[in-house]
Amino acid sequence: MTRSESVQTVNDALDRQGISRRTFLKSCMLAASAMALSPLAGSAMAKQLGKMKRPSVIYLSFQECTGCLESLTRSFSPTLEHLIFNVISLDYDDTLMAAAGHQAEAAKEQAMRDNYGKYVLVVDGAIPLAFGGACHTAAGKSAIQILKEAAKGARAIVAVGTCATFGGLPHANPNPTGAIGVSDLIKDKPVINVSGCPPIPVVMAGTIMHFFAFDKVPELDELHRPKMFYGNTIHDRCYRRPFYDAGKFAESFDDEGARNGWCLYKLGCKGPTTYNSCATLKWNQGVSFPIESGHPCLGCSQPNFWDGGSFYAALPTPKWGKAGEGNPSKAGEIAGAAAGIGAGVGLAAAGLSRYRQYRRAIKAAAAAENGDDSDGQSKEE
Amino acid sequence: MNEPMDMAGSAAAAGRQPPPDEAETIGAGFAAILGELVQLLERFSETGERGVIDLHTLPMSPVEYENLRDVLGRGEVAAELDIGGPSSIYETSFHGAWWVQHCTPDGEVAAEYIEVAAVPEMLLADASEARRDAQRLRTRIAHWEPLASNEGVTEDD
Repeated sequence: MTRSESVQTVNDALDRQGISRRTFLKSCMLAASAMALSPLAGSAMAKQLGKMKRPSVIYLSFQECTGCLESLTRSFSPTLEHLIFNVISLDYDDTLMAAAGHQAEAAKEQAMRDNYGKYVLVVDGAIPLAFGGACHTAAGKSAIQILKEAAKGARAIVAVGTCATFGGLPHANPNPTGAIGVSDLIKDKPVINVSGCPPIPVVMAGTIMHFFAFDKVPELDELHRPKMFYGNTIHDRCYRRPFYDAGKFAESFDDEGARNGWCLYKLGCKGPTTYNSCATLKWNQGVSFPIESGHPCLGCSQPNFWDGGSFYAALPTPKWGKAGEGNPSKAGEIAGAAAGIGAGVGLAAAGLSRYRQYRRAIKAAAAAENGDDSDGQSKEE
Repeated sequence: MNEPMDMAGSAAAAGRQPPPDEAETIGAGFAAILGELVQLLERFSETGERGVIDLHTLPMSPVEYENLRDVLGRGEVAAELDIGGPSSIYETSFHGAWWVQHCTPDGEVAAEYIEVAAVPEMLLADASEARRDAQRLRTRIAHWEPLASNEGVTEDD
């Protein structure tokens, strides 16, 4: 990214790409709708963004699988996630940029100097603390050093993905690298958490666009996640909720309930305790989301979801971590309340489900000891 | 509910279609929408101020949705756009109230709203784009070679 390109306005950049004003306006209106804002807000976004100089964004990656960046970039049509790269000036991203080595690092430092106090820092991946931070080093510096240096001149930091927000998979027990999230290290800058494994592309792009268009951090929840995307649980907006309320549950992945699209609570769905927009925005440009595809929600946008017990063990007793970490007690209360709201059916279903799982596990173990290939399931189950 | 609109079929209708008898079609579910639309139309008529009612995020049953479209009816103007996926805009039978639907390239409805305005913003041409295209047309004209006196004339003429 050359310096002359970075001082162009967004309208100039769009024009150069052959993207019409109407296409950009439509994308902003769709983004506004995704944020539960009026289409007029989308129009205001388009006007504001169009005339501004392309804002500088520096993207840093640490202990991550690149899933978050893949989620954002794997777009096959001029959607918002695609257009975001025409709006911002992505001055550093070691995965996407053509430069490498010293040239890449020099580009980053130049961008940080030229835009000091104005650039937005986007971070994915956890930051390891163990062994003095040696578990992640790049260009001779630890992740701790790289992040602290970049954070100094940042206007705001957007932590994308559960790894960058809460530590994610690297943070899972026993956490050998001492992995933490961005907000555990950076305390003197506004940090917006966009959690998810990975986050939904429009959630990532929409959060960044909202910040630039309205020149402020959006309203955040207690985990510093934008309320416009994380204000409801999956359970609150799930299309299978009527089945939960009616006490109709799939008992296994191939039974009649599963084929009829019944609630996946008994198969371990963490929807009642998970805040995200999967049930409304969905994935792959609105095609589907895990529950609609027949798999229970894993709770991937919540802290410590990797240590929350089996993905296939029913709530209401999740183990989200120690008290004080990501509101596990509140998550437990919500789970209990959700079960209560289900007129006690959820509790009974969970208990029955766990008992049946226990019986199946015992039978399977006995069958294995006897050299029997069957899974120990009997017809009466 | 929220199926992409059949613009060709509605465009074939001549003139405005008056809405059905309101007493037979309005339910409590969307009376508030119509009430808000009245206010927006009155405000537009007095001040020219644009207004929007976002339908995509409102909880409406399919029956209420169809009733709303029936009540508002169709007017004289319709437009189809191809902007990162199909979009459709038509004026309802109430002047200044436009029904706008934006779809993804796969045809999924991504946004739907009623816009109260002289012309929906999406249909307006942009002055800067017009300026750029004037230059583009000027360049194209400059590269045209004038026709010879008999060029383009065949023996049958």
